[in-house]
Amino acid sequence: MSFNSITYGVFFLIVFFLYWFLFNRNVKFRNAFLLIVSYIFYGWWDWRFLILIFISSITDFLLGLKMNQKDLSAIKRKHLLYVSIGVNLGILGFFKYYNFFVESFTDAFAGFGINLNMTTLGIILPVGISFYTFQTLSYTIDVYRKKMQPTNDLIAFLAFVSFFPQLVAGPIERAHRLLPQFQERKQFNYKRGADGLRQILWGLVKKIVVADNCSVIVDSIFNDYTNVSGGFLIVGVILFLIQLYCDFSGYSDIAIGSARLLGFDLMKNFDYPFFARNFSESWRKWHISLSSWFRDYVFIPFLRKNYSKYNRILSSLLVFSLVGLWHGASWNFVVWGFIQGLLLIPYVFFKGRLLFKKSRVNQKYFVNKIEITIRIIFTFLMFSFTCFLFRAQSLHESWMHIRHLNFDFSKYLSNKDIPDLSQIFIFIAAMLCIEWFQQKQNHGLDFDRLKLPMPVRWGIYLSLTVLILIYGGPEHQQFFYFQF
Amino acid sequence: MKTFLLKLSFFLSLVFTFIAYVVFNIDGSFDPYYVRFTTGQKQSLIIGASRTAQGIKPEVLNTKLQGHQFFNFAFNGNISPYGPTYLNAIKKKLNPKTTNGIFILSVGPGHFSSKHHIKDDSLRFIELNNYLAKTRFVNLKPNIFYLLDNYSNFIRTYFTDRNRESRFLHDNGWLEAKTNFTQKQLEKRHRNVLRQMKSQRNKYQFSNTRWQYFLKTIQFLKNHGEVYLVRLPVERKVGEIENNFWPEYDSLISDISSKYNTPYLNMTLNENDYIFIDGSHLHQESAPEVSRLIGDWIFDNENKTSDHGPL
Repeated sequence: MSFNSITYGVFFLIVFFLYWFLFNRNVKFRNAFLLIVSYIFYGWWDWRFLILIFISSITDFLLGLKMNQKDLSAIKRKHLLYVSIGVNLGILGFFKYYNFFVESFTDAFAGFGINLNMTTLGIILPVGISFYTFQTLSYTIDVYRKKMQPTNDLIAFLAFVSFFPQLVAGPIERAHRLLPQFQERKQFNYKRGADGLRQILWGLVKKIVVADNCSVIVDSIFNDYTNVSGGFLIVGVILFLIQLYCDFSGYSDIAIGSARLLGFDLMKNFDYPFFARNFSESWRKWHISLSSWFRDYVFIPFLRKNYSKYNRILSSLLVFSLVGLWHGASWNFVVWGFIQGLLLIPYVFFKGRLLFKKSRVNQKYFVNKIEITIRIIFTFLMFSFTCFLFRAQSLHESWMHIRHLNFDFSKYLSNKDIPDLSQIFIFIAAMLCIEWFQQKQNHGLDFDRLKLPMPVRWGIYLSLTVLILIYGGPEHQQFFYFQF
Repeated sequence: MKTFLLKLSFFLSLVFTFIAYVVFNIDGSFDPYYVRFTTGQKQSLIIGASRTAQGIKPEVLNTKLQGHQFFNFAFNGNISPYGPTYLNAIKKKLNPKTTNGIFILSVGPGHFSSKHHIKDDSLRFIELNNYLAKTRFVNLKPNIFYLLDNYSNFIRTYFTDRNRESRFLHDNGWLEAKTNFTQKQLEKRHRNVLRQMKSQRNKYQFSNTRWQYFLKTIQFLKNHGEVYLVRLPVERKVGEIENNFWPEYDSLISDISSKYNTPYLNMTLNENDYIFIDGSHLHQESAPEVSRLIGDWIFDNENKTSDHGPL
């Protein structure tokens, strides 16, 4: 049940009415209802996946309670944390990385002339496993660190782990932020509800109008890259980054909007990353819930031992390689992550200088703007080019793409079914303009600041809905991040 | 909550109004099939494939054969008119109370061929998975089921279909191909058709299943009126390829014609009288002439039937 399907629309409408008119009278009833609908939502893909999410949730719920026992020694608490990490990463590792490690070991030993007879398994990757595993892990780590008290409300905890708006592709919420929201009474708030709807609309526009149209061109270029001029691979990879952003941030917007309609606040997952002025800023604006998760649970603990410049570099490389591995069980993702780490090194060394300095307040307005623009474009292009690794299925494939690169634009795709580049550029330009002007707002359609008259606002909403109707359809394209 | 729901309902009603506007404005320029599924049940049908869809104009027949309202229920897209899917659609389209209808069945060697070298080739007929099989209701306006079952997004098609200028499907089922080709373009199209036919002819073989469904269609329609078999004109070289594919075709159809008392008109013999857009399909200017000849021929036969029939 994808967010861009009619099925989800109908599902959400039913949930919305039952939630506010029937189950919201009692917190326990409401949470039980949310748990049931979340399990229905997740089981829609494959009911067998429910077993995994239940095992992860119940393990962490019990371990959290056990960790809080008064007479428990520090060593035992640590052991309980290891159990939690072992169970969660064990499930994730088996379902997501088993085949990757088997193949990598076999290849590595084959390099030394040793043939290992290890066989890979036909494992289906459960949807969203990387997201909810990290979410539930953050709970036990926070309880272990005594940042929060464990809950003894099993239903609320199960509902927190499986909360359907953010279950399959985040934002990866922290227990101390989201769990308390399950324990409070809710009252419908018109302003928040309307804003939730607007954010859903903006998410759908980004996904259906921009990302899905980009993907047609991107797929055509990359699937047939030997028959197009190398210059179009540059166009392809830039469009791919835009597709990726609109797809994933669109999903996040729909998730946040849906949650808001049910009275929940989810964290911001994207903060207009295309307007970042350097690489470090890019990662503070892109997939915030994941990058902050790695920062809090891996990077900072690693740095605590040694805050030297070289340890920061080493930590960056390690963390970003892990970020890459989190995305996919393939070496191209690991290398992609490693390169992200590498690109941050100049920031560590030259922070405050060159492209990494903050704009001076007394600088002339025009000069300042030009400088910012150059920095934004440079960062965007650098980010785009790393996406050759992200788009490919393997390291070898990404290398083939890179080798084909040049600045020749003479031969484009001959297939007439491919949308015009000019049309997609108009959509992208419009999207970027709106996001540029809305940078300080939560999302592209957050017009409270502008005080636009109602007919204008409704005109915009209606026009965008018409665009979605024209470019959407029952045969929707899956969200890109579902594969992670 | 009340205000929220009221505003949301109003907004959704605006959205549905837009969808309704699109649905009710879909006409013959939308695609070459939709309109045929939006009229009521009919009493006199024209059955065939793309040549028939473009080549027979119902209004010309209506003028000659007073009292009959013909409907062109021929389809294109490489579908033979004889098979389980098409017969099923005919049964739905025909008014069951009809007793004196006139049915024109287009025949040609290609209609009885199949690509599949298996005994029951009907299991692999192309129409099993296309719009004709997917369309459960053939007499509904607007036919929302057709739009939803056959398009991933019909609104997108409505706004962005680029072929709109080249064809128009009239309410009586006639598909007008709005061609404005130069002589050079016509020749090129003709060469392409010949090349395609030559390359394909060895892949096809006679399909007994299609033949049996042809007979079933005749038998079914005979219960509701008179059946006429027509082989529409094609350019000479196209006709030669077809005749080579099945040399005894014409005599076999003549036998069927006698056996079932269904008059047969072979129009391929006068191909020089007409203009074709590709050697296989009639130009829109020749369609009225061909339709007039068919009308005259049926008129003569009808009068013969009434002269010598029950008396």
